[in-house]
Amino acid sequence: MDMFLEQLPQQLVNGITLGGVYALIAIGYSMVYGILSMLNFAHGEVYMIGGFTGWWVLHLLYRENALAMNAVAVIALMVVFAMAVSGILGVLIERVAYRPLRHAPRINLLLSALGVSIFLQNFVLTFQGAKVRSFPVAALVPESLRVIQLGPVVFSFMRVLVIVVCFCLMAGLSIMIKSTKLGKAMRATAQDVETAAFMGVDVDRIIMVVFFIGSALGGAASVLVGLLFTQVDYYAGFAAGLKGFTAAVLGGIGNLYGAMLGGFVLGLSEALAVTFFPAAYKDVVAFVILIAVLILRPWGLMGEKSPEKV
Amino acid sequence: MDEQPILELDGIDVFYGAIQVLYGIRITLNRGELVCLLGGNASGKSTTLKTILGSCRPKSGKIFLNGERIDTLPTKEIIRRGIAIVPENRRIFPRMSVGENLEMGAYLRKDRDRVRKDRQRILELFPRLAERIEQPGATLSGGEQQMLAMARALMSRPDVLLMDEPSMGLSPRLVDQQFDLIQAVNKQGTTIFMVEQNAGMALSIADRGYVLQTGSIVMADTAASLLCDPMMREAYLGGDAACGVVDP
Amino acid sequence: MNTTALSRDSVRHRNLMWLIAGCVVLAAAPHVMPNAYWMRIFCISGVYVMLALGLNVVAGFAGLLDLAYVAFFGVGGYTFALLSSEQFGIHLPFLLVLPAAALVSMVCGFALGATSVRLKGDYLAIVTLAFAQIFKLLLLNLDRPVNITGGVNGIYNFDMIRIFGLKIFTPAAYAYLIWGAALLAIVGSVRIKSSRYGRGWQAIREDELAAAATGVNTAWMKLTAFAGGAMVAGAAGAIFASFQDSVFPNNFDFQQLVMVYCMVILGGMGNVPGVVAGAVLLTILPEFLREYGAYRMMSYGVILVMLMVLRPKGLLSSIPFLQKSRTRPDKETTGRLQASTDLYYRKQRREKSTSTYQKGDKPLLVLEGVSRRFGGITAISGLDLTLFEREILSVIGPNGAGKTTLFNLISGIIPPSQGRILLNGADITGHRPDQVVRAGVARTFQNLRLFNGMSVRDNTRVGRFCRTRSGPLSILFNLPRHRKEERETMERTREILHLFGARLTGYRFDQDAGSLSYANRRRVEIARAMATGAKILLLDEPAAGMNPQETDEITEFILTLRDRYGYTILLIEHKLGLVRTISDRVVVLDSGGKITEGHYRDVAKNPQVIEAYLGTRHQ
Repeated sequence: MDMFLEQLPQQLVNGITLGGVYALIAIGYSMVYGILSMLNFAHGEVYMIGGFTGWWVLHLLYRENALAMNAVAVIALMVVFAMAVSGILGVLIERVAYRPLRHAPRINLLLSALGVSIFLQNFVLTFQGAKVRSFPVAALVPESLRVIQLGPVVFSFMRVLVIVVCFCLMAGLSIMIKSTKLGKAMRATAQDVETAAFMGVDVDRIIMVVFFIGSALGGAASVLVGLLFTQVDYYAGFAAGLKGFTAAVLGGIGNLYGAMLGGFVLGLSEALAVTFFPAAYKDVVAFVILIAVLILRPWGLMGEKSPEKV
Repeated sequence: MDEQPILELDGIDVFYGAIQVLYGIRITLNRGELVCLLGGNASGKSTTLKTILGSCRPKSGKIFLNGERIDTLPTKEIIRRGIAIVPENRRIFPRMSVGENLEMGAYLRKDRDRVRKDRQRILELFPRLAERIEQPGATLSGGEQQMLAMARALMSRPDVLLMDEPSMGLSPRLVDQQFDLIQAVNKQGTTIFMVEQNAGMALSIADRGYVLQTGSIVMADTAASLLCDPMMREAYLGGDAACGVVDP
Repeated sequence: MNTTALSRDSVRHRNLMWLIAGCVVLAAAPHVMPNAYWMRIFCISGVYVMLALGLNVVAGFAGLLDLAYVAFFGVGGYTFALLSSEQFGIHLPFLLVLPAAALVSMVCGFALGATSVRLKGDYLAIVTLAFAQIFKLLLLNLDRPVNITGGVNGIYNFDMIRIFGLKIFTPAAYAYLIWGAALLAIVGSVRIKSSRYGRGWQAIREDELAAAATGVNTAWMKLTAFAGGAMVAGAAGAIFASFQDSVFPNNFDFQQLVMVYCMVILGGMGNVPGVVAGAVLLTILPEFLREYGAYRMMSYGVILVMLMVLRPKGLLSSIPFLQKSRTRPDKETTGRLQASTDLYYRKQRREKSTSTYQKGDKPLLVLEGVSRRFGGITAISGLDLTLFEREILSVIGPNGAGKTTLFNLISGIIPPSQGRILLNGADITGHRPDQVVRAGVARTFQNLRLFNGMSVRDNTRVGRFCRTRSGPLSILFNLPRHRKEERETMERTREILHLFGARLTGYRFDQDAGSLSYANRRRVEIARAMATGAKILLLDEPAAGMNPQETDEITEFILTLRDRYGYTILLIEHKLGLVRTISDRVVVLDSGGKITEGHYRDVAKNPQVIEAYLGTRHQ
């Protein structure tokens, strides 16, 4: 118990960092679900490819000895590239695999999503191999900045950065959804697609935007995870996807703020659970939470419990 | 050019896959008129509206709005050119405030000052909505939702207002209110094209009516003569409507 | 009647021919295989046929996206491995191990189903995916502290299997064993598909809520689908383990699952011959593309997407004899105004259009202080209501008054927060929808909830589900009891549909419900409710969307239901003409409470009713 208390502040910091990342992934699921009522199975893979993009940018800069650049600039470059690639990939997936099925039974849409996910995963496996790619982060941050000691808690520079980036992205998104015209059109489309179209909203465009934003946030999350844990591989999307989805469901799927809340709750639970369970079963924690939520409170922490329309 | 109809459907054929659902539909609307399209379920009424709005494409035939051909334009452009709709079951955005619902009505308009003035004017017309401007749409009563759907449609300053089954699923009292509202809006100069099953009620306020059956227009006349037509009375009006008495 | 009996015989005849032809081909096949390599593929394809057919029960028939399916294959494989190897030193005979593997797997399927039976679509998919992942983690990690699964190294060197002293070790012997089992799976699939179970599953796939409200015990049916699929997978797993003489965790991983899904989808979900063909095709095809092995999984992904986008009913659905017979669209082409064609009948009907029937005075359905809250909103508060035997009671009231909630409460779709509901004096509060139907209350829906992809006949036959008893065993063995029930179901269905005259019989019998006209769909919904054998019908806006002529017809029909067949009817309706004509009594609801009740004449004069509902023009 003493050890637990001793570790608590540190695990809280770890949990919040992890939670921010999960929240970013969860937003992608939740936004798509809100507008199409579908589970975007391929989101995990989009996330993974975002991570690879980030790794690739860093790797190129590293090879060109360009890391002397400001670390913040390098990371910004990684995040922006990853977001762009993931975002465009998300839009492409929607166009090719989901849009033709918009009026098809749900199970078909899910299977199509599953197909995309399998394709992307094996695409990366085939052309990148199963090798784990590591991020040469150490070369990025000057020694003096690497850790910040605050009482018993050690903040690494990366953790602070990750938290800051997460919060900026989430705040930006919230403001966008709340007050811009595009944001309002997105909400209107999520609430009633047909009527939104009759107001003159170009629904196809809104859906594209939603996929772009959701996927881009996933890509950003992937880079952040890469910076934290210094690696990415072709299989990274599976676990991350499941966790992002867990966070989204935990918060109440379709609800943006719920997704954020769910991310942090999940991140904290995982960080705390690590002190109790052997590491091999770490992922089981998320699965158990997911199963428990779905069975006990499927509408989530912030979702509305709506009786089925009869 | 005053004689030019504001909206004209010229020989519209629509297919769902291999099945033809509309057969050579011809409908004209003149400025300021209130015209209704009557017919039972699956007669093609909704398809007609969807075709006007561009979410169904006619295989042949043309649609003109103010003399401009619109049947090849995307929905957004059709709306921009002056068509608005009050959808079936009103369909207001439940988790957006009354104000935001109105904003969505003016989504395509760029003239911000005029939009503000229109909003003012419309809120004066519906003071109940002004009181509830911050409330989410879902919390409004049935009657208020009706007003909001109408107000939202008017926010786009439409040349033609389409109404899809305004009486559907409403209690008799709300139906009366709804038709009073439609009549009032029409009196203020908005051209209205209304699709309705409740033929008696619709004809009692309309200028003219068309009757659609399994995809073809089978009758077209003034409301007064339709009300008195024996076939019409037998098939659509039942015993409920009074011939010759057009309710003011 | 003769024609259907004939066609049924010819179907049976055709199926038998196929079966015999299949047996002959399969019996000959092991002897014409060019080499050991192709023999192996022949055997493996039989295993995949079994696997795909098992998945077809869960995903195809019942429409449940079960992503843990491959785990049951693994459970079967590992059960066999543990019970006939040196791992624990247990060496049981194969004829005991095979059923044990199937049974263990079935129990696991049951357990998975029990935890996730309330989940739908996407949620079910993700939970089962999580379960599959946990299963794989267990396989990989349960070599410590006690070595159970052998970890990554798996388990190998199994006992040779003997069946009645017959040693099975040559590839040809395995081929007979495997394809024999596959053949059983095929026959079983075909039988169960056209039974009450098959129809129940299909109903759930089409519309779960409507299935429940038609008397299908949806939770149980979903469980049986999970368990049935798992059982087949378990048996396949045991046979596969023995054939391979080893089991490894990656025999049962996500890639296998994807491949089996591809097989089922390629063949068309629910389409038994299609799925068999899909399984064989996808086992053989990759063998021709060996040099492109690296692209294999990638291409499965592409196949999935392309099938869903281009041919969602499966590639094989385009082969004519595997296809469901095409249906004609339901277009009325007669008459200038529809009325004119029916004018004569309508005149006739009008003569007797007022009922002289007296309602009984035995209270049949009683609501005592029933309330229902959603969050902070009270939809129904303290409602008392009595429905007498053979009464027609109409519920009217403004939108949001709680009329549909009332129906949902009575039919068990939502439980009341307070109060009791009594049927014939027995408390049915909190019963499930299917229990309520079996107790004798069936309903229709305001927005029409038919099983659109099923024929008019099958929609109605689903109604008989709660009155039939045959279990999986009597269906699989085609026992006399099952045959008798099927016959009775058919007769009753035909009887009920004939009540609607030419509207629902003749060629419409086999037409998909979704292709019918609106008014006909309303009629099928009533027929389906009647088929449940319920004596109380709850009709939610039966005349909505009907023109005056059709409204008159349905009015007449509702009266007949009561006068001639003794039904008791509770209905919601906005069409006051109908309400006025047929109601013995009218109940007016507003904001969840009863304003008044009584004869229409008196109710219509009540000032509160006028204020809340009628408005001044309808006094």
